[in-house]
Amino acid sequence: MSLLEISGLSIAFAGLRALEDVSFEVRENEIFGLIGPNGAGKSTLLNCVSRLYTPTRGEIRYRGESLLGRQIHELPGLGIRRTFQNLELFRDASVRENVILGAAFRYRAGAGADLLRLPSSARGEREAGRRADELLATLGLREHAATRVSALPYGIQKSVEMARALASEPKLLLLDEPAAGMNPEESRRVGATIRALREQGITVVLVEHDMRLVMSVCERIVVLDHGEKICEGDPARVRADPPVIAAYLGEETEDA
Amino acid sequence: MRIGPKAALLSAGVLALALAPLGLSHYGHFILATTLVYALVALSLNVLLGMAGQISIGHAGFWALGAYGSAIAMQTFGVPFILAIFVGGIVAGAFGALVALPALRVSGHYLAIATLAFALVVQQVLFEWESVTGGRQGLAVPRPSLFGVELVNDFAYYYFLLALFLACAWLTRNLRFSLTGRSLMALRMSAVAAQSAGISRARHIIFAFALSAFLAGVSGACYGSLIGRLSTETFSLTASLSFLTMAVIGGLGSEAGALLGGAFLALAPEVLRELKDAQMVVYGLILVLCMQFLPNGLASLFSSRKR
Repeated sequence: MSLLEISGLSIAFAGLRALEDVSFEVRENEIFGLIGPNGAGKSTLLNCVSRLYTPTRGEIRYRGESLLGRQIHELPGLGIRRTFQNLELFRDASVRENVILGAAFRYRAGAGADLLRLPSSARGEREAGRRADELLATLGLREHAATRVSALPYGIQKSVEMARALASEPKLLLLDEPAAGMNPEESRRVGATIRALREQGITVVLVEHDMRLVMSVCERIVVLDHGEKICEGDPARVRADPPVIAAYLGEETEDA
Repeated sequence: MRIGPKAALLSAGVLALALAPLGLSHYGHFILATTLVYALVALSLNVLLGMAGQISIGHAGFWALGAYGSAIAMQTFGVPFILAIFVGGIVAGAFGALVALPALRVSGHYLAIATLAFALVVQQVLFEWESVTGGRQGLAVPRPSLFGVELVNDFAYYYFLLALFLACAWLTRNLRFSLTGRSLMALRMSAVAAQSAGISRARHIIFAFALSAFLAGVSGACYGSLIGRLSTETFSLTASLSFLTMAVIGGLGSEAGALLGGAFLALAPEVLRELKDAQMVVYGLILVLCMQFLPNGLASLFSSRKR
């Protein structure tokens, strides 16, 4: 069954076409890869799904319902979360606070209750804190809980962003280059985390440049080039596809 | 129960506030009452600027709406003082929510200009609408009274204002540590990240503006009863800028900072008056020194030692 359905998606910035008539489906509980050379439109597509951008044409459906009428902040409530390529963390807040804020919308008692510090307000805070502590333990971040995010190395900040996205127990997780800037060992750990997420019933859409990671975890892959879909299929098929090889030639030759 | 250093400091502070007016002249009581009136405005800017990161150089507008709203409620409709304060707060708060609507589209300089324009319009309308506000004649405001007992002097009024300030400080303190308050701060740190985390920007910014305007309105209502006569000249751009200055000087991160800011604004003219022509120079110098050495406001004098 398809969880996310992208159909005929196009978007242009000042006349420049970033996506042109892209369609594909993401099935429930799969790990889905979205790859392509730099500037192919992967992040743009992710930004359309997460409602940072509004496409010029086309439709995005989640469980059959259009997302185009929704605002950014409504998506977590529907079960959709994302991470950012260049990290969008609350840099001056602690790791634990970042994760708590990832679920604050769910546990918040309401402004009136919070002003008067009613029992419901304190309860929500406690539950959000408990949820954050659980996640920090699972993701190996407990020792950093009280540290200010900006004081941590890049790789750990990436994990913090992941933890924050998981705080509200999403069904669909959009990861924008989770392994960027990581060494092979860290990147392998990201792969293991992604597989573990799928075991918990989370569908993952992975935008990534690290081909070894993509080929090892994704079940299906869509390849974009110059805003158009040039290939769709399992890793073996994508790896052998002549247009894909052509698109990547002359680009960096990573492991493709 | 063990008493921590924080609780001890708080008790000492409240005790000092309770004893402050003893032995002072009538004029001293007036200055202390003014301090608390200003501190309420600093509290309101604490919410808007300190938590939500939204600037307003139009707080004199909300202050005016609270002052005139409550005065008219008392004079024309015979509403008792204690309720009239809320009328003033609610009138200002409603306009605060309205001002938040453009704030959702603009930020930074544009928001500053929008709030400034709002305050100028309020001042002008109050001036021209003579039949209701008295226009250039001004508007007389009765002495505050509680349950039929008039608070004849500022000594008594000070204690009422102290209770009101402590109640409002309790509210904003609750907010600061709650998920709502932290969501506001999250929006300030990164609007994209906060919204992607499910935090509604519109809802939170409107709430912050409404609450901030409400507190400024409550202060305005108290101010009217303290002065006894309202004149639109009071609610000028200069007042808005002084409010902003005192909130920053006092410290945006705490309720104690709001109180210190209020004291600064109420006392500085009294202290500097002796300096005659040099007073604006010295005032400016104090501001520069504060920004240079106490970027987190006067409140950091007390908190930094505690850590």
